[in-house]
Amino acid sequence: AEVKIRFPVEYNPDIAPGLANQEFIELIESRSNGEIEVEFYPAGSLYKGLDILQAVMRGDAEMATLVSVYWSAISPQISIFELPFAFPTHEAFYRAADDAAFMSQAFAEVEDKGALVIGTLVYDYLPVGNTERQLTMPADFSGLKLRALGRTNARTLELLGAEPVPINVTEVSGALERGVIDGLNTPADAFISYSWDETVKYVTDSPHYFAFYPWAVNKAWWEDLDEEHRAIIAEAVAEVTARHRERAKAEAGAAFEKMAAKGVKVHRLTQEQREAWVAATAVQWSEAEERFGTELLDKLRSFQQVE
Amino acid sequence: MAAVRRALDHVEDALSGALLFCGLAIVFLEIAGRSLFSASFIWSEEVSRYTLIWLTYFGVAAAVRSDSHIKVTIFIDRLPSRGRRGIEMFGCLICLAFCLFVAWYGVRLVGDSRSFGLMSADSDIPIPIWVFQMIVPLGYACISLRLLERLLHLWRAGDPDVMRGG
Amino acid sequence: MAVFLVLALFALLALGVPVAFALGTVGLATILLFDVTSLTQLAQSQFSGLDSFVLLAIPFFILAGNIMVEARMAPQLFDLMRALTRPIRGGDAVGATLSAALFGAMTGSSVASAAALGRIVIPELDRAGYPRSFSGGLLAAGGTLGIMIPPSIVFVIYGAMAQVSVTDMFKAGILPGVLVTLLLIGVTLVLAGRNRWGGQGPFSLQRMLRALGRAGPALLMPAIVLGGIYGGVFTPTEAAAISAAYGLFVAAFVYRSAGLRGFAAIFVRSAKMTASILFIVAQALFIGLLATLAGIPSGIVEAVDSLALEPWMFLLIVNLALLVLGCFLDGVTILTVVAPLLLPAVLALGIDPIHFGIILTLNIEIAAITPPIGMNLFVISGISDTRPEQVIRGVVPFVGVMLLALALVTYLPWISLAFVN
Ligand code: NA
Ligand code: NA
Repeated sequence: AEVKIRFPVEYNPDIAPGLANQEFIELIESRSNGEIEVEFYPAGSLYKGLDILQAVMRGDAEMATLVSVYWSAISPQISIFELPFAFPTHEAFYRAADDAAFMSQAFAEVEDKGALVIGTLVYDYLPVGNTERQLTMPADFSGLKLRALGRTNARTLELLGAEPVPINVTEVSGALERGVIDGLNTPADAFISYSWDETVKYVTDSPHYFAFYPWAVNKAWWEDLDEEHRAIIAEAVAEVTARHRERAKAEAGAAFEKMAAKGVKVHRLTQEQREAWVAATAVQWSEAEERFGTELLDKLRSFQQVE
Repeated sequence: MAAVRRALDHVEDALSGALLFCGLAIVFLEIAGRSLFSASFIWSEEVSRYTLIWLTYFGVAAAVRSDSHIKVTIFIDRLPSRGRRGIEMFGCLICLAFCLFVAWYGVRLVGDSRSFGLMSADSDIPIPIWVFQMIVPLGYACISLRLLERLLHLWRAGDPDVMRGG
Repeated sequence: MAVFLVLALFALLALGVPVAFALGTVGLATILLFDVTSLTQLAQSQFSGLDSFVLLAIPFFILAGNIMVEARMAPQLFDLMRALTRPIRGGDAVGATLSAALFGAMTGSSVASAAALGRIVIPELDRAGYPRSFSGGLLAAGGTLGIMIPPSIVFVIYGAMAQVSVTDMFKAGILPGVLVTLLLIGVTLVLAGRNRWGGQGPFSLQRMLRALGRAGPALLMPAIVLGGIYGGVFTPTEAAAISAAYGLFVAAFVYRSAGLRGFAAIFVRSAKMTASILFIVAQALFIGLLATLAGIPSGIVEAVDSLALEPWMFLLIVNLALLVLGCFLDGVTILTVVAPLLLPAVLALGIDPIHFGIILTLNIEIAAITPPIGMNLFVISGISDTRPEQVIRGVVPFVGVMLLALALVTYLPWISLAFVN
């Protein structure tokens, strides 16, 4: 093959984003008549976490879909995507992701440093599951030890009244069973695929955090590709990520049904409860405003309006 | 002068031992904080991980000095002392070459992380990651020095056993 | 490329280059010759390979083990066990095996167990009339219980590499550990009975209680560690930290076995032992990364697939290969180099990775006592002033029963998985 793409990801190939990656690979390999070849390394088999990011920046990997929290390690303003209730609806996120000017402004620093975001692969919201009680109002979080996803999310859980605990993903199952942690917020299908729904008794479906994967490439490599190959890749990313939105939503819905069928008490936040959660965590927005200025945040808010 | 020399002889030992103590103290504090005072230190997991990395490379340098790295000696033990010395010196040179490569590219690694402005993704530690990654060039420089020292001893003394069990 | 990797590695090892440096140099040479990744990635791996909270359990378990040796907990345990087993023929040797198992429940490494117990027990067994080759072989084999009976640094490293819960590994090791202990006791009883080795004595309650009193603080150690992990409160890394802290407390205030200077020396020694293990881990992980880039693990999956290997055939082949490799390589190298190559095939065949981890651990135990290169053989020979050939002769029957244990553990998965959900 003329072009070889080393493509490491952290998650298993059989969960929703992994399926999207594989569709993408089939598309570009067939459309390029085999001129582009992808070496896909799922499940952290090549690199994990920040290593993936550094590999893409250096060119030791050409491409990666890595959860956005890691990118805030080189560009703190990317953490605005993680602000509590930044995307109250799926459509709010789609509007942001489809606004090319906004995305390139948000990821400008990443681009300056050597990586380019050519698409966004959605995951879904992170419902909060725990073993103790149904979480409806912020007061219910009091005293709960919850595993968080990065520092912005940790701050959100803290403001809601919980105690964020740092714990390795491989130890989560044991920690839940033994009460080292009382729960965690994680995508709905993760509760199923890691069997956490067997220990977690209560899950609250809340839109406080929308997880997604910036589809990133090494910039120098990308600009070196010939026009035709670049077009094939860009089109395939656009197609696959658009098609994937429905699947991700459906997967999350199915996961909630599976959990409910297993006896997990699933609760969806009411309007009043959601407002209480928003109020409890509002200070994170003013903290972000102090750090990153108002321009990006105003833009972000503009995607939230309900038609 | 001799005192300085002696202190330098054991500097890696002391550093790695002290770092082990710090790592233990951090983890212990986190447990105590969480179970007694219901306070969790979100930085503790990360800092204790870095402590482990630092103690490892100072420990590696110390273990070169006392020649206590795990190795297979049954083949070279059968050789006459002259031949063995040659092979030990050759092995030492190989290790040294490896370490110098890693030390040099460790400098590059630190430079890259600096230019990326890489910070922790897990916690609010205000220290950039390149500071922690400094252990790669620093540690490998220490190991290289110890290897050089060993090489000189082998050259002068001629008996590989003099370096054993320090 | 794979052939080059293997040949270069064995050549460097044979030249006496330390394992970690040999692995690292092979990795470096692979990049220079085949340009599979950047040299900065080599430097990066030195950092991120060890950037793991799980691995942090290793220095703590090593520290706890060294403190126990310093606090002379080994003789206390041996006295207690001997008080219990005195009435049987071969009782002293059975007591030594039980002490090895108990010590295994307190330390995480096999060499530490063998060294600490061997120093105390072998002279006692000499006095009781056991031949040196037998007692050396027994202690070399008994020492390996240190990595099968939890806590175990092998389980910690495997957990970090295979992304399985270390707690589950600790649960999985219990029954195989008991099985190996019983088999070792079986050999001891048969040999002692047939050759009329060792004496017998009446059971003395008073003597037993006195020994129990002295060994009490030591016995609390496994209770704290394992109780803490299984029963609730701690992650394995935290349990390791607690056990080290408890050991420090007991050594300082109960046994009063070391002053400030002594404790400082223990920290330094433990840090160095940790370093020499983790240095290998970091290099092996980098080799694993190169192997992944070269498609070796997925190649193994394809080979298994095209040969239509059943899981039992795969495990048989793996066991035979590991037995051969185990004669020449040390445990950490086997664990860190071989496991990542095989894990994709293991998962593809539907073998539980925890079960596979236990099989691997038993192979590592056997590797520690098979000639020509077996760590525990050298350690026992060194501390007891016995020629290695003598220890090797004595260890043969014990290797035999451990092979039996390997067959049982391989083909009866529930021995490993009974306590794991
Ligand atoms: Na053990
Ligand atoms: Na062996």
